[in-house]
Amino acid sequence: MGSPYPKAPKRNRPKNLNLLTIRLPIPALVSIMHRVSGAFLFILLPVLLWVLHQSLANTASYQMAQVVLHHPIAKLICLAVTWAYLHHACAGIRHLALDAHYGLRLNYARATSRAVLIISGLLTLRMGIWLW
Amino acid sequence: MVDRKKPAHGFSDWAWQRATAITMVIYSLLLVVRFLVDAPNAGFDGWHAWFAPLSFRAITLLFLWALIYHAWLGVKEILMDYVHNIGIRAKLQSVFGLVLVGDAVWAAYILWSLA
Ligand code: HEM
Ligand code: HEM
Repeated sequence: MGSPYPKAPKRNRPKNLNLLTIRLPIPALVSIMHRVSGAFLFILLPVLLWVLHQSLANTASYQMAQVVLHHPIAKLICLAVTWAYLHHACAGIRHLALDAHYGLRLNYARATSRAVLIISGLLTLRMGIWLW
Repeated sequence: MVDRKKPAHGFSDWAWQRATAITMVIYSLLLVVRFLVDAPNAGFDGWHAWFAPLSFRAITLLFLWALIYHAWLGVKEILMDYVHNIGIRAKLQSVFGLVLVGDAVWAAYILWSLA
């Protein structure tokens, strides 16, 4: 009787699922942010096309788009989209480099992850200064 | 996740994701360079005129189509990882696929309806 399969050994390894005390390695952080930013850009794509469309269709729609875009919430969205795009692009380029076997050593992997965060952060900051 | 029963299919998705990514990087750099050396004049007329050259509209549409195909591959990947019920996954894929096809047609319309 019983299962034909051997029982899995009982495991009493320590578990830590507390999000506040888990230390996420930087490359893992960059990786998950790459996925989140990609999904975010996908969701925002219709908004981007709408802005492009209104800005190019005719004078009246252009002015309407200007009014909409000058709303502070619109500026925040612009900044979020810009950050998402820059982070996703920088992390994507890093990903391509890893695929080509560049930068695989752990210390390089950490350094390039940090570089992705810093470069996309600085470019976004530049954009924020421009917007306000 | 790679579908190991169809390696050729998996490989080409992987390759297309990279090809479209590189296309987008190149276009983004070109766009920044054009903004720096040939900024559009203020107002609707300047902005509209900036999009007049056929070559610029062509590469912009190429970029948007690359972006849309890239997003399609990426979204499929994400659904594969998080939605394990095949029926629900198929439905979500159809919905997102239709949205992206709509985006692709819309992008062409925006750029080609410019007089
Ligand atoms: C990838 C997507 C986007 C990029 C690359 C982008 C980029 C830009 C750039 C380069 C400017 C010009 C800044 C200047 O000349 O002062 C700008 C302005 C602006 N954008 Fe975006 N943008 C994006 C999406 C959006 C979205 C989705 C919104 C709102 C829903 C938005 C709202 C704005 C606003 C409010 C301004 C300021 C306009 C002004 O002050 O004249 N942007 N954006
Ligand atoms: C310069 C622009 C971009 C570059 C260099 C780039 C690069 C990449 C690369 C290399 C991957 C593959 C990651 C992997 O195999 O795990 C990827 C995934 C993805 N990309 Fe992009 N991408 C760019 C723009 C975009 C845009 C604009 C969108 C959305 C509209 C997008 C959405 C996605 C999504 C949803 C994924 C799947 C993420 C995942 O599986 O975790 N990407 N990108």
